[in-house]
Amino acid sequence: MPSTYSLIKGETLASSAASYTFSAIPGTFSDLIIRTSIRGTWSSWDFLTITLNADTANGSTIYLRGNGSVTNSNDSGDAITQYFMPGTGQTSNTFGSCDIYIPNYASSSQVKQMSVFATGENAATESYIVAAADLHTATAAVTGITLTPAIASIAAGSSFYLYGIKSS
Amino acid sequence: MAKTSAEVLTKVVVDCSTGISEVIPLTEEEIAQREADKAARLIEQAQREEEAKARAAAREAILDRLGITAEEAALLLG
Repeated sequence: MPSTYSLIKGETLASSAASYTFSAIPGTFSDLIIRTSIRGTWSSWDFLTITLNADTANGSTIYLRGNGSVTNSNDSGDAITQYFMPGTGQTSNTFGSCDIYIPNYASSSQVKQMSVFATGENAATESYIVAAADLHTATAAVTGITLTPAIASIAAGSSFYLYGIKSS
Repeated sequence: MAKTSAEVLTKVVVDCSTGISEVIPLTEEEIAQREADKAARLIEQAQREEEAKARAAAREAILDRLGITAEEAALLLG
């Protein structure tokens, strides 16, 4: 990673979990980026929902998703969620990847915009690529970020890395 | 975590100021919200699958009407 990136916390799950939360995030950086390698415990593809500061009421997603033969573009209403996590029905030991970039996260006066790029790996005929523009309309500084599958849980072996990006 | 009658659903919370991760059981409210979210997303997933089937059927109907294969259509569309 570039020298302006500082690892705040990195972890690989030893057991499955209903969600993963970074809490008490320091406000000393200009931007944040989360990099995940993630798989779900559902029998098929699952959604990954991103919640800031435990606030489930002020988020929305506009996404573009493709699987090689079908392309979808839509909005997800009132949730920040992306559909790409492989599950037990996909190729074993294969994890999706997701980068979540949050600029200006420590501001207490601006809404929070996120850009998400994710790939749902499957090592088979079906996989997904997702690009999303997420918006969290509350202005509080981000001190907590929760990643939650919508249908089942996060599988053991999934990893999460939170980096703070210095201003220069 | 896969829940059995003997297991408890848990979440992982890491305190970035200390680096300490905790495994915490979900509250009843969290479990109820989780089930509600799951139901909504399953409905959405079923709708998506139906839409995909309809698109596939429409695509096949067009190919049949034109008398060409999917590979030939891909060639035409460049």
